[in-house]
Amino acid sequence: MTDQEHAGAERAGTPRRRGPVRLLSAGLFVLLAAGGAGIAISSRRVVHDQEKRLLDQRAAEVGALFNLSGARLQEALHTASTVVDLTGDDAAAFSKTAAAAVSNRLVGAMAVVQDDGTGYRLVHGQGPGLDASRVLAEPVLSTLRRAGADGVFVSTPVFESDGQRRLGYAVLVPDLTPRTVVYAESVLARPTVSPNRQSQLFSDLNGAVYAGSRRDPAQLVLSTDGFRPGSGAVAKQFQLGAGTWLLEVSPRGPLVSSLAARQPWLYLIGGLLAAFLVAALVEVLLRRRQFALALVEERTGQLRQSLTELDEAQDRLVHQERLAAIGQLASAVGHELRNPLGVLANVFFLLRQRVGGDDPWIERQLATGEREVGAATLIVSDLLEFSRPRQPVLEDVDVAAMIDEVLSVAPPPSGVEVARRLPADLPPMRADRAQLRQVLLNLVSNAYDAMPEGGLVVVDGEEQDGRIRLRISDTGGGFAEGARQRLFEPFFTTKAKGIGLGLAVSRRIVETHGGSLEASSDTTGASFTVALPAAVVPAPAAS
Amino acid sequence: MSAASVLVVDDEVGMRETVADILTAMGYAVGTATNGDDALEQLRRATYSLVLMDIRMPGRDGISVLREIGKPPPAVVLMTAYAGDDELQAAADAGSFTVLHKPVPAGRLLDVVAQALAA
Repeated sequence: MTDQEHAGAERAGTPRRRGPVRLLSAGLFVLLAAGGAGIAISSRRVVHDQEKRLLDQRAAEVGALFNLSGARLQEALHTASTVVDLTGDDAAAFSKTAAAAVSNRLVGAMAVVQDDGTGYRLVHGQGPGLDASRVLAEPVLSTLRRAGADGVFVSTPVFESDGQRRLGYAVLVPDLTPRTVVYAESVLARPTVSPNRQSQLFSDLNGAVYAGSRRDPAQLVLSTDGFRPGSGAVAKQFQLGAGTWLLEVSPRGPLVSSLAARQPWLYLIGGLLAAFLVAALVEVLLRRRQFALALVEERTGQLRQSLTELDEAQDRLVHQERLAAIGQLASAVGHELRNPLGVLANVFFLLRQRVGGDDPWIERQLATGEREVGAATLIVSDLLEFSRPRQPVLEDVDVAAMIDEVLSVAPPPSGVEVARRLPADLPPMRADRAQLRQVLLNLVSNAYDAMPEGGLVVVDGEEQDGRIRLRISDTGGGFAEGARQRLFEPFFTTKAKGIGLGLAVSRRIVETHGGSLEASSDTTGASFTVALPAAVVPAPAAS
Repeated sequence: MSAASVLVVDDEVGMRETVADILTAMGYAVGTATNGDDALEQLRRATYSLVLMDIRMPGRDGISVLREIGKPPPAVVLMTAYAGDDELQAAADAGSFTVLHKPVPAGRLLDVVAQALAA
């Protein structure tokens, strides 16, 4: 037997609840959990990609804004009717050519200035030297005052001029006709740019702008607070004026929404949870199915058994109905025959009284008549007793007298001897007289019939433990062991004649009395033993 | 025993007459009746020591007659060919000396008659 077969046999023999079910569910769990983890990992990659894409997009936007600002300013400078140069002591007007030269140095850095009543201040600036705390140089302020409005600054890259680091910036004065841009230059006190305030332009990014195509600290124009120039995650070049500029940015926080950022974890947890739930569900369903199958098998077995029992019961019923039908017929016929047979018996008795005794021929005819009437009466009695059993009416019956009566009704045929070996002190039996006579008539008649060539019938008896055992034996050779099993079945007979009710009825009568009727056989012959309760003999009065 | 008189009551003529003949042969004075009412009529006309009576008869049955007669004398022995349990119980309750199951061998019949008369 292979292991597989062994496992199969084991399952078939003792239905195991857990083994195969747990394996399947666990497998399912691992599979689904792995799926969940896979989804989580791929989702994490998606989030990562998205983050990167968003950063690129934002960087491009920032770059585009710079570009746009520069372009607009350039356009403004080109189209301005008045350009105020703030670099000199006098606010002299720019020539168009001067304006074009300046515009090439401008960057997209912007600042917002407001007149707070005491003077113009930078409230929001972007670009070196444009921190809000800084008070603008008086020439700029005077220009702004003249312009009478807030403006947008555009600055140049830091550039060297006359050995100084300088920054130029220009302002387009909105809503002023003619369109006015002011330009100024500041000499930067420090060689490096100071960190800027939070930039609106950069909004959710930190970053820096270089006035060149490389991350060259010398070219650094501006950087946002808390950003270390050179550490940007993304660098983008963009065109501004005639030059190529570099923008580097890092996200200040996750660009992807926090929910989206947590997606991988949600997928992982959700996947595990779903895997567990599905596996648990499958487990439960499988167990229920197994339970249901076992139940169905059990119920089927019960049903099959019930059907078998029902079939048997039906067979019995049919058998009983058949017997009942026979019984009814027998009863009807028996009743009609009983009286005439009784009358015939009386007639033979009367005839014997008048003419019997002396003439052997007449005696023989009378004996034959009496015997045949007795046999017929016994058959009728058996039939009636079988079809309608009667409760015994108990009385004390003297055994020897009863044997006399039986032998007078059924005298032995010629060639058969009857030996009576009853103890003289045998107590009476407690029995229904008519029924006991019927039993003994059956047993004696059977003994006669077993010995057609003649033989010996022995009737002996004894008292034992309050019961009287009466045995009737013959020398007819006995019966086969196979027949012994069926001797007491109704309608079973080994005789050529007879209807097979005698022993069945006899046993039932005896058992209704609380006694027993047993058969035994040896090579000599058969013997039947009736055991019935002995009558309780009243103790003699103590006088 | 010569004076003992027995009334045999049976609607079956064969049984009635053979039983009467057997009893007569044994020296009893025997009267017969063909049914229950007839039996009661006979009992009014003459005195009997014993009534030997079938239970099932057309009209008034043996148990009914027994109840009418009441306590012995005369003693009553009922006979039946049918022997239903209820019937036997009713017969015993009504005071039957015993119930003989037909067919009754003549020897047994005579024994019972003798016993009933002696009681």
